[in-house]
Amino acid sequence: MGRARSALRSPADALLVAATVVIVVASLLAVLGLRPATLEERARRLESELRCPVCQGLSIADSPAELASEMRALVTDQLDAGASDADVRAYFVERYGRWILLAPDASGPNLLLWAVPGVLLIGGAGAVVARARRRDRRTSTESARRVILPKPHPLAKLVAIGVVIAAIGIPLAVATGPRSPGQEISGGQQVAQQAPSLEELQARASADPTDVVTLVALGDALTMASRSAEAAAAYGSALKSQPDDVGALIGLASLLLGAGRPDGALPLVDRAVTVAPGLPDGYLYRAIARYQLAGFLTAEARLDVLRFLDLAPSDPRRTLAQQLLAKPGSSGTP
Amino acid sequence: MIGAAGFGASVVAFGLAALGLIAAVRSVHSGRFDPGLRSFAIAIAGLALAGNLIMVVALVAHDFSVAYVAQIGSRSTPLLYTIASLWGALEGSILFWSGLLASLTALVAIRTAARDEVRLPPALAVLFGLLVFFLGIVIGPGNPWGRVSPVPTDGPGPNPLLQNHPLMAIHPPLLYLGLVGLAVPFALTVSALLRGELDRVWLAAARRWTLGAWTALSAGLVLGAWWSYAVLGWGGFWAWDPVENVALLPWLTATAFLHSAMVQQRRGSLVAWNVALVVASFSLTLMATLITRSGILASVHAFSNTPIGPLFLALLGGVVTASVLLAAWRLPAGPPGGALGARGLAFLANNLLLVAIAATVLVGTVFPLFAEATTGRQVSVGAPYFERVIGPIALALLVLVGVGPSLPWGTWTGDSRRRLLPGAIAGAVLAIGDLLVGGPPELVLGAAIGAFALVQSGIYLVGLVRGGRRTTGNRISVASRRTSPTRRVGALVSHVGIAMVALVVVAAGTGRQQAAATLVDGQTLALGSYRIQLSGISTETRTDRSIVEAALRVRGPGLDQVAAPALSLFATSTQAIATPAIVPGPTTDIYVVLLNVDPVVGTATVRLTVQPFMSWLWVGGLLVAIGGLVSVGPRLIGRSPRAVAAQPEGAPAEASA
Repeated sequence: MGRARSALRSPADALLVAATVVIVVASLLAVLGLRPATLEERARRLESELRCPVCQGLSIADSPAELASEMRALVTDQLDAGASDADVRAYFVERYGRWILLAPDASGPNLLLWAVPGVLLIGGAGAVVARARRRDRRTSTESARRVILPKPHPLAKLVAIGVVIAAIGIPLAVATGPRSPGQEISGGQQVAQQAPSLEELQARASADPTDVVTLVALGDALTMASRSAEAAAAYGSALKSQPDDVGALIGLASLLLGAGRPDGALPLVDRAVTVAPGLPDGYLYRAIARYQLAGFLTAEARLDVLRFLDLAPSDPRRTLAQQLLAKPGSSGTP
Repeated sequence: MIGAAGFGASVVAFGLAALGLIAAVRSVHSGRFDPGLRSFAIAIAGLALAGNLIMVVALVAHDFSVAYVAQIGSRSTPLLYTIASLWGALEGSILFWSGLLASLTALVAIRTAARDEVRLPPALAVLFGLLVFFLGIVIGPGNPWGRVSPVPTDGPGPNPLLQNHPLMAIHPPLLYLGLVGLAVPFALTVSALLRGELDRVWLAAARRWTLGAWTALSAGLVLGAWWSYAVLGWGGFWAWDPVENVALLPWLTATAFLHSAMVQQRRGSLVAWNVALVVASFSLTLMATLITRSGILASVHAFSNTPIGPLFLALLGGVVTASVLLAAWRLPAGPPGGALGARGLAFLANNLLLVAIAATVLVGTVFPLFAEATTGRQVSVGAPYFERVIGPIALALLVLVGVGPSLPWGTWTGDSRRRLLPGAIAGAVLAIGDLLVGGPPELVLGAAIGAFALVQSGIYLVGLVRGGRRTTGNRISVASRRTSPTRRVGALVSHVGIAMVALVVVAAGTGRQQAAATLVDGQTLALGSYRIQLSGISTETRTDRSIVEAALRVRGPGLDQVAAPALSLFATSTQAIATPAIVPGPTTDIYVVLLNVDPVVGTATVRLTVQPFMSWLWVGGLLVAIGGLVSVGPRLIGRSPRAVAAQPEGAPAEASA
């Protein structure tokens, strides 16, 4: 206290304190004195928080893509109609999943994301303060740093070598070892090459009817063998244990589309797109479902096809998608 | 033929690296320096560089029998981009990487002073080990030399985005040099740990090599941001993309080390912390390679498609655990350090803030992977998250940029406080000004603190240069006397640069204006005092792409010129690539992007962005790197280490650094 008062006695110090106070007060006034944000400012802020679905991590505010400009128009329309910021966010979350928010909300596992910097700063600040309070005992000199090497216990050395080998070996083993077939949703051909036989899968599935990975693999294998009814059953039981499994959702949807039931397929692909917005398959199947339902290529279906084409640059189904784009749209334009 | 020669060079280099590793380990065991190790290092560097040269020749000669050339070469690509495609794809970039690592290893072997030779074998063992790894990938899973038969007559050419700006020829090599360079301080630190000599000689060498790598990394990052601004057409310069983030991470920890090294130099404290920062910086470069080169971040599933990802993960795991165990075993328990003094504490606070930023970037970058793997749901972590968390930490860091250099190693005196006045007053004036024009809070606070840091850094720099000439020394704090003046000049130049970058980031974040419109010929889009008028659309069709260009007349205060943004549609992609037109200026950049063209009706949709002070971002960023160069430069080209070795033993070790 005494030191602080004496510090202020110097005019330079007083001026320094005054300048600091001015900066802090000006910032506070800027926070408090703000008029309510205009619609345009709110729109810009929201646009910078929403992810452009076809870009690499860009917001719709920054993205030059056509889809982004359509989404910007949606944001403006909703704000004009009186929606709150939370309403707009909820609207996009409902259609694309939480993935659409570039700053995840602080709930569930996302809490970790927000907590790590804070905990680190608080802990670190505590350590710095503790270090600052330590009084000068001695200024250790550099020469004192030359130390006599401790001899490690032979067992400790052995354990250490073992740990290092494990750290090197485990990623290698995990990566090169046998992979379960359901893990590769997007790489259909690889699944076909490595998948165990149909019989084996059937045996495994009946042994454990809650093993979603096996059930989806079984469904895929049955689909390939054109045994649609059994495949649908396999996907169905997979969805019973795990309603959000993307492989099962997509598999079942493609079966329903093949059977001419786009009404059944649409909610499935909708959910698949929400769960895994980065996966191209969902968009293609949703576009097909919408096309079949409407009888022409609706604007929404068109967006889905474009999204698929952007997400899957080397997919064999691109030709199919491009054919779909050539279908007549609602307004008669190609 | 030429492919066989290149493969041969790589195989022999690999073999020599393996033999060198054995020789280095034997030399560690015997405790004697084996002069043959130098020859190994030089021979490997020669062969690795020859391999790179052969690949460049194959690329320029369009020898499509070489797998890598067939993958990335094209007869229609201009020469500059043909050469630059050496690092344009995975296999070539690892070849290039191994060439850089081999060269730096040879440099370490040649330039270590004779009296420090005993420290060399463990360091060379680490570097040879890394070379075995990288050259092993070159001749194994990432072999660029494979033979293609039948030989194709032409290739697809490099990624279109990578061949429309000359910066692509400078930015990646600098970035790689910075990343690879951090392997050297790591090797020196492992050596020091093994020998139990975490002393001045180690510190000076680790600091010097880190500074060199840091300089290249800084320049690489700035040029990368520039490329993003000039090429990608979204108007920004840093998208918080994982590929950008992982290159920033080692820069942050290396910056922390450059500061904390001074605490050890002056007070003998923070030894373990310095070791940790060196190890972390190197580990993060490995992670950067893992993440940018394995496609792991695009999706968890992409991981299994390349054998190189798991290899890097294994190397990363090995390096981190081995370093931690080595440090646990060998770090001196030592006496608890004494008081750090005001400046020492400022360095400590600087480290805390830098590490907190690094942790935020790391967590934000890998969190989507973690979330997808554990919950099966995709999560986005983008610019709003990073800006919200890092913004306040960066402001605190800027305060330290302004305050730190005025602090004495002893207690904070009224004299050193008085030196903060000019910056504080400048900040206060700017804060009031910004408040009066109705600026948002982040502008008021950010500009004030940025101006404080800039003015203060400028004052310290001028004071140092003047004081150095007059050799009075009393205008500079006592601390500077022990550090060489060029090093301090370099540090302050970097500080000026960082403060400039911060001010531009604040200005760009708050003062950017944007408007978009669809124009017919002759129509005008106005934004503030600027107007752009469409004066024609032209289309050009090439073999691989069609280019639509809009001619726009840009007018504003003291400005009347033509800008021509373009849209390129490649045969292989549905998404058009926009090339912006930029009219740079000292206070504003006019940035025009062509979003869409309707050739039938003759309309062009354009987006006009007015960006305040953008030019100063590049000036500031390059000043950061130039500061590093000033600091490290004289030592790079200066006296030969062997001459230094002849100095009497009592001479301070720092002088030889």
